[in-house]
Amino acid sequence: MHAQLGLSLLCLALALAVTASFPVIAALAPEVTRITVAGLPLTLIVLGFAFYPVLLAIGWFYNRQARQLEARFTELVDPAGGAGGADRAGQPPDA
Amino acid sequence: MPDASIGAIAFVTLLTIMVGARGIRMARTPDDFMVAARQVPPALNAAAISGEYLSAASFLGIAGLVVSQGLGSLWYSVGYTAGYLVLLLLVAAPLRRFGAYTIPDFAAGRLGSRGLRQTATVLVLIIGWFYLLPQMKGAGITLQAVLGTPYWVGVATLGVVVSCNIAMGGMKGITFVQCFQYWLKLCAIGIPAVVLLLATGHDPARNLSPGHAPVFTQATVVSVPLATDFTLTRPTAVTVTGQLDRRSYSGQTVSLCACRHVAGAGTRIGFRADAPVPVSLAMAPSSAQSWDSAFLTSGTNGAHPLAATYGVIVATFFGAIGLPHILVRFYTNPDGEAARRTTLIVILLLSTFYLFPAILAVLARLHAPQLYLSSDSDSIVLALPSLLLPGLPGELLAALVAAGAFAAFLSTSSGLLVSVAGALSHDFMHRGVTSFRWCAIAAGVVATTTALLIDRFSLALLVGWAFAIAASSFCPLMVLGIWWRRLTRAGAAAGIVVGGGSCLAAIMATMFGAAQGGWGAVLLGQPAIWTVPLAFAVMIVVSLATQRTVPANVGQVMLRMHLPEALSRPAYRAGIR
Repeated sequence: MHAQLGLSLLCLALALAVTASFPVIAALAPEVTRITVAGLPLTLIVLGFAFYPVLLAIGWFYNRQARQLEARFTELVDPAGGAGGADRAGQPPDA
Repeated sequence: MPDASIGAIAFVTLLTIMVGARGIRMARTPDDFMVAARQVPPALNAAAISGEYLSAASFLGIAGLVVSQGLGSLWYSVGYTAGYLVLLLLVAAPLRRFGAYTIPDFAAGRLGSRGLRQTATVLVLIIGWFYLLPQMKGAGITLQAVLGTPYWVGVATLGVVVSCNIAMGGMKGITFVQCFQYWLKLCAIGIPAVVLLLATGHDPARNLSPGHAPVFTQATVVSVPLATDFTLTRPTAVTVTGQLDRRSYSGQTVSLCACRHVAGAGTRIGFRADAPVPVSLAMAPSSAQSWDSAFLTSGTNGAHPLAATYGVIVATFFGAIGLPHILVRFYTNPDGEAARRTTLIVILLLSTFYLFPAILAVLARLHAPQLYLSSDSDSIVLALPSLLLPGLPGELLAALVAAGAFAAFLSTSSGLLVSVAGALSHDFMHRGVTSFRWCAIAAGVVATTTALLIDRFSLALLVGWAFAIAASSFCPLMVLGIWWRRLTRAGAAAGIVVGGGSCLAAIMATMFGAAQGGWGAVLLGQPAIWTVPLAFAVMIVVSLATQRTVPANVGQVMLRMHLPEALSRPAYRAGIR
């Protein structure tokens, strides 16, 4: 559970660092928002298009890592992989 | 234009009722009736979640707000999508493994308190009601724009259709309906956006260049359907037929000063190429910042744009976790792993959808500056196709947009009404299908009536407020409930009441016009920036002060939420046998 929480918080920090830093950048360096790419303002490109692939990539990375964490934990608790989970269910799930 | 659009709206409504009716026949047990049996595959479930989620604000509100207030309003669409990433990271899998149906169920199951359950139910009703209002408003202005009916006709139509459909159908019907509605909405906004983009082409984009007030790119005759106040940024000469500034003209050339003017209903004003674009009161930006600024200022009268932007970021990123009609859908996943896959697909579907409101807003700014004379920013998407593409193609696209918009109101308000009616009947009435039906009708009547009073607020702003309340009450409850063993009943209840209550009070104050500028306007207009941290803080401090009342079964409950299915399934099966 601690490992899962750590992974979640890491991904959350990553997502916030990418997206929520944009207003601060725009406030500190207003000239950034005056950049145009192919006639389109940078604000439009960033807010309208560029953030979505980033959010998707973080989500995909999280799903992969979370699955691996769970697989490793299952392996650790129940190496046989059989129906022996019942008697171990009382253990704390700290992977 | 009206004929094709009426046909399209009627078609969508009928189709929704019919698909729902098919679901009724498939619903067998009472459990099926309330939440579709947990056998929905991730792709179908993700489309259903997205279909339910994409509301009037996404379909009409964001594009309208971008045209009138600037590109910073795109934070709403970024936030509505990022909300699902936060949901995926913090709650999706554990919540599914916990196995409760609603947020009040979660509160009661995790902390074992009937009082807390009822507190949560009251919050579900408040958030649901706040979120229903903009859907009703959307229906009102859509029928107004398409048919010319008074505002209340659209509101009442949606209220009646949705309440009756829910009272008859329950949830199973809704899953199919919502899935179908996502694809309908995507087509209804994507096809017009792509066709109009191809039809108008990409020119040097002068109305997009930074710091530039919009101008007419070619000589344009603008007709004003309703009496409208507007302002000009610099003087210009126009030809006028009809009433202007309380004088009648029939085709004369008039010099207008850079000040406020009044055009009568039915007036036609001819602008030359390069003339400044007139801006109506409803479309006037709330601050002096340039259109391409990265900040969002709606709801705060333009004060402290950076803080207001973060207010919306906090509300939308953390609000999706606490929306009552969305969480219900996670219980239709077979297991926690499927819940994660579903959420990732939802992010993909939402990202795809939100590309198009941005494109439509830019097209409106570039090629249809006369839309700055609109009486409501939310009707811009509906008016755009026939302005850019005259003749039959434009009319067909307009009909498609109107149908998609109606699909948006239908699907979101159906999902909300199911949650609100479910919460009402479960916690405050005796349970059962009959009571659920009456609650659906009652909730529909209340939302319809109040929606008649709120037509001056932008759709995106209203929905943003629903997110702010959810983020300040249920988000801390879910996140701490899932990850923090030491949460107590008293802590959870105090956090919900203080966070949700202060957020609601701030929004009410803004709606009644309490603060007009400065920090007051920001802190009351976009309250999530302080109410979300406050709710977390209260929940943690009160919990730490009442550690003796930590539920005895916390270890067991935590285990259920966090143990991978590979381990819990054999245990579960052994227990059954």
